[in-house]
Amino acid sequence: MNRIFSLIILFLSIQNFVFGQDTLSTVNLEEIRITGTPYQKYAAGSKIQRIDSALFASQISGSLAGLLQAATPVYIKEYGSGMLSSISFRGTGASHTAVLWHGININSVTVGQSDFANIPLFLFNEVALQYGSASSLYGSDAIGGTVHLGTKESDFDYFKLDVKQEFGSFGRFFTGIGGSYRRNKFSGTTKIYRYQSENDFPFQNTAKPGSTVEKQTNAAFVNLGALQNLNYSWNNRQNLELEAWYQSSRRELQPSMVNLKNTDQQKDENFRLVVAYNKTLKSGNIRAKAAYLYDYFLYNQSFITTSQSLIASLRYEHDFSEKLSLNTGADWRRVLGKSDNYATNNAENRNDIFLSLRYNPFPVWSLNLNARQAFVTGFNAPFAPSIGSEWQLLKTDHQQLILKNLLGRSYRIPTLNDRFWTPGGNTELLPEEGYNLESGFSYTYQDKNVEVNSEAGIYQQWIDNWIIWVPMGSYWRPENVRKVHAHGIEWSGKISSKQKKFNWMIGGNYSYTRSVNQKGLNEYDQSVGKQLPYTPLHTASAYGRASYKAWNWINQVSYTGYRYTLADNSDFLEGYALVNTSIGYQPTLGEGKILVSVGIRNIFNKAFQNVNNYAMPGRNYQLSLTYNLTK
Amino acid sequence: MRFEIKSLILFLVLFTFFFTGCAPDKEVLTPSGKYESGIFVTNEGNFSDSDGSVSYYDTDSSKVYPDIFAAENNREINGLIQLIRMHEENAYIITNVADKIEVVQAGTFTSVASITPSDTSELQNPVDFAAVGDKGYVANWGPVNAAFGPDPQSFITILNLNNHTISDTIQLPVRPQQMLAVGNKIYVAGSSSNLVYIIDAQSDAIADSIEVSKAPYSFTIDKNGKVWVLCTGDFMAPEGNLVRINPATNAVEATILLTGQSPNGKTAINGSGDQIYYLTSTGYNPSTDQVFALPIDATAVSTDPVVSGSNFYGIGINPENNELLVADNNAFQGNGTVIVYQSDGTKIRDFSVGRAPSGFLFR
Repeated sequence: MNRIFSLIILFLSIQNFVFGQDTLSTVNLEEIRITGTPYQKYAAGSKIQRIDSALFASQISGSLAGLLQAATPVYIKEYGSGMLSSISFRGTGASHTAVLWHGININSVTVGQSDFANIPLFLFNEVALQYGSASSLYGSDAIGGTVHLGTKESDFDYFKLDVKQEFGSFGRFFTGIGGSYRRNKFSGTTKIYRYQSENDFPFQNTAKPGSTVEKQTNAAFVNLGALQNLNYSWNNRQNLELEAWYQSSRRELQPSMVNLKNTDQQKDENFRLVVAYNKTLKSGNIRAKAAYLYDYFLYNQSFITTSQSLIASLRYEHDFSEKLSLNTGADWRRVLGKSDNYATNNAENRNDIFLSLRYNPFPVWSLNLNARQAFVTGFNAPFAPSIGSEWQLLKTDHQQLILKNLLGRSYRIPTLNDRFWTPGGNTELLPEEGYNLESGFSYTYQDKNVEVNSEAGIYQQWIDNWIIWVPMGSYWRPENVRKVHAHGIEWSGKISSKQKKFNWMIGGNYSYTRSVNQKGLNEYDQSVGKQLPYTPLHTASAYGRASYKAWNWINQVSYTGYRYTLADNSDFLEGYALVNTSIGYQPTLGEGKILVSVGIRNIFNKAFQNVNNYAMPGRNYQLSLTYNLTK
Repeated sequence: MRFEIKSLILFLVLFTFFFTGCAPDKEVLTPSGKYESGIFVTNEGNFSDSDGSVSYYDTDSSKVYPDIFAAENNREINGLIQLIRMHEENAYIITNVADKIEVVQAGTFTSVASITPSDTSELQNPVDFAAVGDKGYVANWGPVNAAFGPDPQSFITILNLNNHTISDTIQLPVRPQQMLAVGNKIYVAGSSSNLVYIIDAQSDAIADSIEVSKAPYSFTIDKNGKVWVLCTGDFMAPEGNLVRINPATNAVEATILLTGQSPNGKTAINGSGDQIYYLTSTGYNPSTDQVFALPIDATAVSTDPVVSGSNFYGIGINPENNELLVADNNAFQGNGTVIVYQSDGTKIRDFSVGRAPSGFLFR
């Protein structure tokens, strides 16, 4: 019982006990316009999945956690409805996915991961997943995959306004206002939203004698966020951009159904600011960036953890010819962490130098060579190279088939908590290291009315020195104990059709993920050779949308296979399929458009648990009103 | 159906004894005693899953029965188990996270009562149980934040064991750990202090306190009826002490410094009551967990452990054969293991149990 005190906070802040899980894919050959991040150009061989914009729009009042569950087979581990949501990409853990905003990793430096429930879709308009290791491009954390967040509004001439109000079951209210404007050389976007929920949904309490129906307690939350983007373009060769993002979340922490009397709560605040300057030269370009990140975490109004990062980045890209491009530069990051659970404040430098080459020996063949070396205070960070290739096997007017191959090395620098938590922090930890090997085919078909994308691939991944917290006497302490081999198959595809009055699209994802621990703590460790906990073997999702004149309908199914809850696979949670649907009517109203939509989530009222003993809502409803004006 | 089989067995047993004229043994006294002659293994469970369970090791057949509470009651305990204590015919399963006491008939493990509080002032983070007659006493940490602060809101819950209801509470000035009933007194280890509190089971009030050493945690009674208090020390002063108290006078008779050893609070005593075993950990770099034995007439500790290893989470001594049982929690990564040693530290066997095994109850 002595361990409980420190464990409660650890449990909230670190999910290393329980590794997480993963998955899949889609090809999109369109260049993804995410400012200052030329990730597609030097990412040959990587599978990049861009989330369908209509699906994105249908979930806009929610968080990235909900969207990824609906539109990708990545596994999101959710500690209750709207609560801490961590990602597992390709059978890796919650800290093994980099989340990039303007190309900057925003994973918390104290806990080493992002809470996907605290990334609101409303402030963004684009999300792309890059599968597999990309440490050679993005540095630490990009082991299982990378999530790119995009904020650039471009589909307007000089003014755009979005106003959204949503009402839902269990006291859910969402209000969001967003405006974009352009005048001469100047443009900007302002967005603000508030999302709250009582979250007092009924559920059958299977943890209590008699399995009575109870109401969820202590799960209310209020999220607020605002984003401001300003852009000044001298001409189309030179621009300066500033973006600020404020995020606040006050949450009661939904207790497990074992103890509904628990009243724990937490507050998170994040402030992120970036200034970027881009200049296109005769045969290349320069990008300079400065950023400041601030994270604040308050647990039960008594334990505070804050961290700050100051970042500067400079890169230069040179196109020697149509066949050969080079991208090189350096990142500098100063990290400062403070916590009631650290003995001292901790400051360190994380500097990187990198070089990327893109070479097209033949028109049908692209090759990438990337390399990155990080220099972190107190660490020998691994050298992270990668080689990627894309071979166009088939190219006709309408069709294209590409063979992709990628081999890369990845790593993760241990978090501040891993090293400085008192008691238990381990300053002798080594970075986690991985190798990733993958191969896949990407097929596209496109004609006037129909577009088809399909991408299938296989991968293998080896991760060594995987850190987990293990009890050492009276304390828990992180150690480089696990060695994990993950491999799997991924498929994703979609078909869309555009006609005069009738548009439709269907798409789907599937992934098979086998992620196995290879190393035991001692002779009694029964987890060797077993699937990692909270790593479903199978995940799948399918979605469809259709619109006819002013009507539209979206339906979406996601399946999460059974997951072991324990490392020795002695217990598991059953798999579940969830079906959501919504129907909307969008007449034109003067110069603008108004959308009225009614949605039903978990339409079959499936009782399920994502995490053991955490209740999730059954069937629930929402009504939303959106006004959109574009000039 | 089960009842009918039990009745049939009862009938046959009685019938046999009736005609053979042997003296009845405990089989006859408790004919439904499925769990009469073995070892209960307490599996604490993992905090986030609250999946505590009880395994039963049948010493005759060497067979392990997992999660016998669920097997007998068709539901899980759904709590983190702190300890299981016997009183008369019942076993009291003290759980937190769920903050409840599950009461089962020890022989059958069928539920007698599930004592749940109406609010957190009645039961919150309970850690131990002791009983005198028809009164039960449960030590509670109270709210965790306060329990580790300067002003713990810890308390004792008094249970009426006739109807298994909560009848009263007593405030405690310190964070408690284990308890022991001696005669009409309840000893409470005040682990956030250096005091053992004594509760008078007549008046249900704190009657006295005894100064021992830093962080008293658990109790053992030796063959002379003396009470031994294991004091764990704390983060700043990690060496522990074993303190002997004369329960007749409440006087401290001996204090033995566990030189260079950091006990985690788990103790056991051998069948003849003259050798105390305790579990220690070196912390980390490297982390070694060790079991030491201290003869009750010793004046200094032994530096040679009986056994060493890692992830040791609980110990027990089988009073019938003095076998040493060590519970290995396998770092909470899944189910645990019980390793059985001879009293000289020679390994005999091991068997798998539930998640995070932490202690034993010998029947």
